Amino acid sequence: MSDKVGRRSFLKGAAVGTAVVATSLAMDLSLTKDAEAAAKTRALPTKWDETFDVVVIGSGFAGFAAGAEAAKAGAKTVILEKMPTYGGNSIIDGGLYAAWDSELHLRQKLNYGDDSAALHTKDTILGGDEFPIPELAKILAEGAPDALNWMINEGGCKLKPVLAKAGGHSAYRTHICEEYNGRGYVEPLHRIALKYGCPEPRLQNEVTWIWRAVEGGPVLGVEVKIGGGGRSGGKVANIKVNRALVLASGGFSRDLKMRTDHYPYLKESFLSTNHKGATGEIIRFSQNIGADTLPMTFIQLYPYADPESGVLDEAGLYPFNGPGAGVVYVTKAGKRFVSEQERRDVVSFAQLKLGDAHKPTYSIFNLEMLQKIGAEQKNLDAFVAKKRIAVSDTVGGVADQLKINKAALEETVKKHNEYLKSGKDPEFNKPITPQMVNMEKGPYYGVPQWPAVHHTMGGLRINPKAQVIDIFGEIIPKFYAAGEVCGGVHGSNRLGSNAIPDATVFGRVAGRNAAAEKA
Amino acid sequence: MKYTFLLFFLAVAAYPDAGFAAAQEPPGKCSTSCHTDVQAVLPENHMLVEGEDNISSCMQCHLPASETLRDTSVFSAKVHKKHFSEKKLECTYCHIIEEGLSFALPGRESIGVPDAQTMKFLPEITAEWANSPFLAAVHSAKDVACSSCHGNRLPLLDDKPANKTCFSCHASYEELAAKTPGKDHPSRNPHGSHLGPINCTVCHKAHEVSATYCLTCHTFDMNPIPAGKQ
Repeated sequence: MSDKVGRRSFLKGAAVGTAVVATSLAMDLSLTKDAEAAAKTRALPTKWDETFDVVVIGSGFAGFAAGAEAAKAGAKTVILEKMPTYGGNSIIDGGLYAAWDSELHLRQKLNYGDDSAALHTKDTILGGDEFPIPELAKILAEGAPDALNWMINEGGCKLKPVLAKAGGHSAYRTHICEEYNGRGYVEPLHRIALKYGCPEPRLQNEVTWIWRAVEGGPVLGVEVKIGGGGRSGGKVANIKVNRALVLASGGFSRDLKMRTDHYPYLKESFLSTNHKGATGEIIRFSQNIGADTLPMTFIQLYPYADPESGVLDEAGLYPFNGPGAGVVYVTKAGKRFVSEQERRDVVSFAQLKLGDAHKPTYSIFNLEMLQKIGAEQKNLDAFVAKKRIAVSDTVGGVADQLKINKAALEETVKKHNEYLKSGKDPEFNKPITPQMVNMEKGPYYGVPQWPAVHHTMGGLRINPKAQVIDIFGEIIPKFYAAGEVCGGVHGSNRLGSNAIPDATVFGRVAGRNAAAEKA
Repeated sequence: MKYTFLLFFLAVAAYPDAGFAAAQEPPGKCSTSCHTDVQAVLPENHMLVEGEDNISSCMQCHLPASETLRDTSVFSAKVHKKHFSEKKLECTYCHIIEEGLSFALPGRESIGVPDAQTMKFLPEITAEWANSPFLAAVHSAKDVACSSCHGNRLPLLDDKPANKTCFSCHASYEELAAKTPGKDHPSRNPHGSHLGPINCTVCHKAHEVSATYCLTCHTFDMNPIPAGKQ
């Protein structure tokens, strides 16, 4: 028997995982006892409780986008959501959307220079240290404006009339929605999905298994735990997919085991910006039916989370959107410690290297900068009232409130003003742009910040059609994935504001292709 | 046998164990052992009631979800509190119950199929509705009966009433939000959160401890939720 058969037979037992791998195939198995134990074999359901053309797991950006496109193409579609509310992690996302253009043409109107799909692709690939799969990065960048227009035109998405040049991006392309959070895109996508006949997501419907019969065969359906709580144990149902299953189940930042299995450094003491549902079971079930993954070690820290809670609120977005407006990051000692235009991983590790004694660091703004990145006065006032941020008419006043070394901070701001004038940052070599604001005029604001676990770049391997690929490089039939559950789009580091275009664009691709499968 | 009689409320017999056990067949008569003077238990000016000597006579007018009588829930609440909770009558004293088949009042259509789980839990849950630390008891205190939340059918263990059911008494998200601004900061409002108009039942649970969903992620000092953890 050839090696190939032996290897592929292993997959039958270890990954496919059903009783359909019957006696004649079982004779081929070259499983060791350990591998056999590791293989999760479960008998296929004897009956299906329901059947849909397309089943989508997850109700975030990718899930609603896929549901909308599948329903639009005429597929009988259902979205399963394990949480009691829809929106997943997307609805608490920061609401930033990178696109090199849109029908609003904000960049052109604001006279913010040039951009292109090619440049956005290049930034995405370089920002991920060349780990991104170029075809996937290109699809993200090329599809970003159209997906944004779709949400504006068909879903009522509203954008602020500003653009940010956020960390890692070489152009002003970060759009900010009115809500300044992900709900500003989730609701439009939700509306579009309903409009095309995709029903409301089924809440508290947790997928507990993915069924695939034989190697080379298609995904057949899912097992779902419905409801539960109180006296009810919930019930278990099996749903058959006629055309395809679409995974839009998000990342695993809150799955402590999966996170530390791949990246032990990110232990429990790290806070996370994510909702509690951000766990990795769908990745495990997919691996169990043969799906390949791309490096699960690539887990992003968000450098500017609320140091107390790990929450990523609007105040925690100002530091990220601030670089293009000239924000300055400082330590308690009042000194800069990194180029503010750096990527999230660089800024995060610059902070962590300072040590816990230096937690938190701070972003220093003046009001004009904050206005440039869409901060509204009423929100700034509310954050001040909550003591989330500090305000003063003087730089020294902010330093006093936040217990930053006053003389050093005043000196740092003064020097930074000079760098903007000279167009050079001799300390950290930050690229200076004419849009950056000289901080000569108050009032001044200070925002505390510290890294928290934010985004898992690793995940399932997909091809440009959003089809999930198995460990031998072959397509798993009728099996699609989009958004954070996938790997390969962002490589080792996702650029901020690339997540929504990723999830939305690939959600649409997956939904369309899933609906086009033969029933 | 048809005769005129008057109904209810003063029961004399005490039945020690409420529930489905020791089923009565057929459903008990009102007048034989308890309501010898049934007229005394009716409200003043109540019309004369004709029909069988059992609950079905009441149901001629006090229909579930009746459009003509707005107090059907109140009627049901009062009857259950008195006969079930206080006097510990079996469910089957009034209801005709066949596991796996039907759940009805005499002379009326079945309102659902009680499965084994329902048979097990319905007496317990009804007792809890009458008296417990949970939101169901807050409703029973206002004479709001099962059907107000569960509809005109046998409640299911997994029922999660839709928001519009809650809003039939509790106005709207907007009006609720106006009443519940955050203690320290108005924006920390459970009815005006960044998650939008989520299902009421995410936080408000009638048959278990209610809990503010905001606090699964945030550590705000929020106003206590009714029937929540004290």
